[in-house]
Amino acid sequence: MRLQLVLMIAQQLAAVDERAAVYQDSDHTTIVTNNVTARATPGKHVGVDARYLVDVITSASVDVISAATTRFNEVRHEAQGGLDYHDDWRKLTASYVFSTENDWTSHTGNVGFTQDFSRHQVTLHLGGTVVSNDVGRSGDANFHRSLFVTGGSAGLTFVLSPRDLLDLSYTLAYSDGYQASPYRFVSVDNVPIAMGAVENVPETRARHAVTVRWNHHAFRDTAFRSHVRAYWDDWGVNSITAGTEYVVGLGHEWEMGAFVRGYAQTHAWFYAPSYGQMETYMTADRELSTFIDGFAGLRAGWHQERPGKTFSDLRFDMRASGFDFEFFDFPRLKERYGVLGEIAFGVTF
Amino acid sequence: MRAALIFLALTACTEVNPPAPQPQVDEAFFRCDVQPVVTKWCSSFACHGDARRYFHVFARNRLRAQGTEAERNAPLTQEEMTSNFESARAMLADGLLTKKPLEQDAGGYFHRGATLFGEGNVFASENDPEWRVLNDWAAGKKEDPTCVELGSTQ
Repeated sequence: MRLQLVLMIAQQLAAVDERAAVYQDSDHTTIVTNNVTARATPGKHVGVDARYLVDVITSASVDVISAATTRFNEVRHEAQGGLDYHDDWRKLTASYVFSTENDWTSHTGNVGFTQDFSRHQVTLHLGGTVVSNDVGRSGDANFHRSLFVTGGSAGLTFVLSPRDLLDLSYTLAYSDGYQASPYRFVSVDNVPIAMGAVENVPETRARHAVTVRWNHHAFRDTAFRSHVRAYWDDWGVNSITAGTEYVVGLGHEWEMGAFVRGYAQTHAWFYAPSYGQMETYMTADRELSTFIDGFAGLRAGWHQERPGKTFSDLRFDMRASGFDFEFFDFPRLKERYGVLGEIAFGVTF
Repeated sequence: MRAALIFLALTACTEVNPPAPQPQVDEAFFRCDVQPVVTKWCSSFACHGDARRYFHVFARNRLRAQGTEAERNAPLTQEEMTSNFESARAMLADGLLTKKPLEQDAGGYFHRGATLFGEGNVFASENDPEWRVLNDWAAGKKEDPTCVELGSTQ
């Protein structure tokens, strides 16, 4: 009976993918990520998927370094389970994500719906998410805060021509709860000798983003995948992201790509490099400062279809990118640069 | 990209960040009761007697804001006393001043100093008379304004 069950599960397993990544930056932070996903289609219209991710972070970043702390090592585990129902015109998805590390635990619920119209020339997609976070402090049994996030998205995808696919989407997220860091302190300069104070930021934050994606088949076996994203929130952070990838197909199995991405952000209205007095909201979060960044890299993918074989599809992908951040009003770190390498492979059977 | 940044800055809204209301704690109680406790337990060079720490404490023969080595044992300057008072008041946020030096079993927060020297945290429980001094100050207890901190003038 147990063997039958194992065989049944094995028959239903349709695809497994593994992705590993290494991140290293000039701010003394290294992140090694391993991500494995599996997807099965136990019924004609039903799919299930599962994912497990582990991050190992080692950092002596200026964000964490102080006279008391010189370096930390941290492991994050994340597991996801999902279910979908689909037919030729629509798809319903639901998933749950559990994530845990030594000072953070979160539970996330996602739902999604897509519906095709006009002979599949137009697709409507809607999504919703709810996240409950328990925020702690490393080694601290008595520090507990909560952060609750709700969000939604809506979008339309258009097949404009045989060469062009356009996607427009809007996302909204509302956070309510503890959004500061228990490890960060701000500098207050006028008292009369500079001193530190606890970071404090508003309890709520509403974030908005509009994204336009455009895939354009150029000539022969080449294409551009481009996107522009405008973001704004009620903390005064405005940002713009733009990027494109040029993809070249080499025969039936290989695909090469080169990509660039740029980002620019204004600081939150309460952010300051240091404060002249104790103010209601104070932060030392460089992600709330003014900065720009750029990523560029290369990608190579290989994909082989093998009908009738045990492994009916094999795929391999690797990418390498470099990046640079420039911070304009964050005195402790003017620049951060680094590299990111990813390698992935997958099978379908 | 810089042009995008300028455009974003021009479209950004600016709000006023009002001064934070500070806890109404007594300066005399701090000077004569709290500061001796903080000096005794927190101000060694390896701990908060280090100017790189966000919460740092000025004390005689320990961290000084200025002066020569020969002047290290001089009475605290008014600037140093004000700085100690304001730093401690800022650490009342989130209860850091009272919870950091208290053992976690007694409801305290994680304190690196508790593990750094292998001797546990500063106060084992809320019954410690010196912990109660900190707590009384946080709760608004007052002292005679003319009080003089022992050893502050010699």
